[in-house]
Amino acid sequence: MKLITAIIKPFKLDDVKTALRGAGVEGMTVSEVRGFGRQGGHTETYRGTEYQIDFVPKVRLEIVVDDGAVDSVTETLAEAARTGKIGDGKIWVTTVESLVRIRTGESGSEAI
Amino acid sequence: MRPVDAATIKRVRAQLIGDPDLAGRGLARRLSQQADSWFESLAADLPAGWALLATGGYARGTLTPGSDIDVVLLHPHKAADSTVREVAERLWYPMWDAGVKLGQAAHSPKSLLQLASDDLDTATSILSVRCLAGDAELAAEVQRAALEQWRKRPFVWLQRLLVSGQQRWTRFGDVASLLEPDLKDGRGGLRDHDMIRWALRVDRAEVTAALEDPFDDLAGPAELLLAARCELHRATGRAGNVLLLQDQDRVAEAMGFADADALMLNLAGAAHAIEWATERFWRRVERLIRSGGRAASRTHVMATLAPGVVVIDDEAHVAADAEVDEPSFVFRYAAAAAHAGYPLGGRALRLLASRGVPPGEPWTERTLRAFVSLLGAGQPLVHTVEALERYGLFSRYLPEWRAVRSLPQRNAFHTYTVDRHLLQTVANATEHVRAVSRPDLLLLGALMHDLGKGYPGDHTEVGMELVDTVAARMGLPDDDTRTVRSLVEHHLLLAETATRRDLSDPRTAALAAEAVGDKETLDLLAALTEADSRATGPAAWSSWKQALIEELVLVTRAVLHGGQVAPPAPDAARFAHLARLVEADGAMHIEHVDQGDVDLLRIASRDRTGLFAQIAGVLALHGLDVLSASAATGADGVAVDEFRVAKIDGALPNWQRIEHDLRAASAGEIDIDSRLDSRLRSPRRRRPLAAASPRLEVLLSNDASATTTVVEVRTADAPAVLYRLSHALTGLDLDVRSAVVATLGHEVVDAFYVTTRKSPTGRVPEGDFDEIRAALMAALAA
Repeated sequence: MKLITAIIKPFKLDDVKTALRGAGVEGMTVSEVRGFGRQGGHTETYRGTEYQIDFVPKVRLEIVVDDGAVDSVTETLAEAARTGKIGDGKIWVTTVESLVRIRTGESGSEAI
Repeated sequence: MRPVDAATIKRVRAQLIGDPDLAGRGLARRLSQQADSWFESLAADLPAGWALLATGGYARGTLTPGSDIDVVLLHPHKAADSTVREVAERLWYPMWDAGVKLGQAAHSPKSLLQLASDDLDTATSILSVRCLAGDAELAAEVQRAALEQWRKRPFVWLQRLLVSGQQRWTRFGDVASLLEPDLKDGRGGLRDHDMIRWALRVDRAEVTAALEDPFDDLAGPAELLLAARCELHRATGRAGNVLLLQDQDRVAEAMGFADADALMLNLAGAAHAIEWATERFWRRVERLIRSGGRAASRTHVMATLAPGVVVIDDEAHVAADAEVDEPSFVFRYAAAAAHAGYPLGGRALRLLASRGVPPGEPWTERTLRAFVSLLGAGQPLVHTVEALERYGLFSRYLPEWRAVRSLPQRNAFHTYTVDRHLLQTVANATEHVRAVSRPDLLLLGALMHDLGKGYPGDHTEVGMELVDTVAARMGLPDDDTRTVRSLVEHHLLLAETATRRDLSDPRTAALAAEAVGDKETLDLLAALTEADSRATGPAAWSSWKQALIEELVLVTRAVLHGGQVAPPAPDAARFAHLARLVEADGAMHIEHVDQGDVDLLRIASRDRTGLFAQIAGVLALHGLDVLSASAATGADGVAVDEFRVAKIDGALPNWQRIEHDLRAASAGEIDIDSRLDSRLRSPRRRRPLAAASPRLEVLLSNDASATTTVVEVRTADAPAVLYRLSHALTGLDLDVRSAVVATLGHEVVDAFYVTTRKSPTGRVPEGDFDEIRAALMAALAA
């Protein structure tokens, strides 16, 4: 099992959600976060204005999937979240050691 | 006879709770009677000198399915611990085994009273007790001693009750305006009813007198809340007191209401009644506590807040000579009270309710002014409007309010009923009045943005139609009506666009700009969006969302590049005759036009530095409020000024004296500063402090005009504001070429178009902006 974590632009959330549903993803955790990457904390277009955002608002998605689904989910996610401009975000994948569904006690892949 | 066993208790309780013929209070009574009979059976063989007491709500004969059953086992002082334990366990175990929740205690009379001498919960729980079994005389003795303890230190206990109440109110919020109210601990809930009853038990005439209406008047509202709590426990099988959205349908059905909305409306009505009594009662009691029991006079005037509005016994009242039949008086009264933080007096409200305008009448300009002033009062607005509406006074002027009054909304984002949400939005918007050029329209837009929710159809579309109706009644100019309608139409635009559209795509900003139209409306909308979101609930606003909205506003503003605004030119025709006179003799010429509520003053004179400040100063000396003013200097060097003024005290202005002083000031024969000083220091002129006072905003710009610098000041209204600002500009050797001045409610927005001789263009170098800003702030701080 893998944990896919993605940081995306907030307005892309609906698109990504729809695309992932289509790809068979049954659940995800979404949080409102802030950060900066290569764009350095403010958008290119409006550089030079007095206004500067130190940390840009982003959305973080967390999805646990079976090993076999990692590539397709990651691809779908990237496709749906891409605008081609700076600040589109990142996706990273980490290994999940164990997983339990609290209500039923199911564990491992059954609990996804 | 064998005492009752756990299985029986469990079975009978389940039968009662499952009995569809028992509802609300009837069920609570039956549960209590049933518990009595079980304790009678369990405690049938109590030894002599022992007693079993019901305390708290159980002593009053009601038990909801989820309430703790509060009982105290009284034992002789010398009884051995082991004996007490043995007797107690025989009583408690069958109940525990049946799954009944007990609030049980075992005490000797001495230890119980000892505990009650310091512990508020124990002290209040034994103010009334009921003997369930055993020595009835002992029970009566304990009750008598408990009351004696309570009455020995009345103000200590009242103080502690009040503190615990205040903590509870902060924590649990209002019953009437929360969509998911706590029926027991919320403000206006059952505990508040208990708290008044306990307070009355100190048995002091001045405390009893602090309650406006008979305590029995609250019995109906309290019973309704109790019935709802009872049905809530029954529906959920739990002891929680928060009536969640998901349980409201079942509770409504069990109580025989048509639907959940009907239930919530009725509960809100009950809670309003308790809250009203609570608020007034405890404020008076607090005063009694502070004064060591001396009641305030019900007739002594402590202060005058505004013409016709006085403070009596820490409440705002109507003075004997008040013009109560003048249509704007209701709002002038409420505004003065809210800004000074005083609650509205019941007597005054009853008087006003019996008089005044018929519902739905067109407003006078003065009414609109007073109304906007009331809206600008900040947080006190919420309770002030609630007090007005208790007597139907708010909706008499704004009949549309009735449709949203205590109206629930089925929406996971929202915390409050529609009316409370609107008032909270207005209160929040007060914090942004300095961020916009039209604070009055911000407040009106905030009040109306969800008004459409009271009617069928899409709430935004209905709301826009309502704006037309309401604005016409208010007498709002067409331009302003359009702006308010636009605020209502787009009140969700920024929040939705910011989170759902690509902010780096130029089309996003372009679309938003097209919808909004101009920078002023964008600023209004930005302020409304934050005020609205924060009044909605914790899920609707976060610094995360704020950052997105701020960025959207920024990029949209960049699209709405404001063109240059020409300084206001005088309407030549209106001044032509005066200007001719000035050209002929070089003297100052003055005329005034009576427009009913307000007076129009036109002054023409040869322009010179400081003229505008002098005129403003003389008007302030005569106690005139400048509602709006425009000033302009023509190419011929003739300055024409038009002031719309209202008399602060309501008395008629003495125009002869004013004209005389204007000429004298112009000739340098009056020291305005020192005369203003003594006038403003006189205690008679004490003005209330504004409830919310955001900082002073000074905006300076050379972009708006090619020949002048615009100095815009946004601040709270105060005596002689205009004089102090314009005088400070004169002190910097700046010439006020023209000015647009407006007092909007309690807010002042003054734009001065100034020139300096120091620079060839006449515009002030940007390097001097900080100095101007500092001077203006200093002028108002003085």
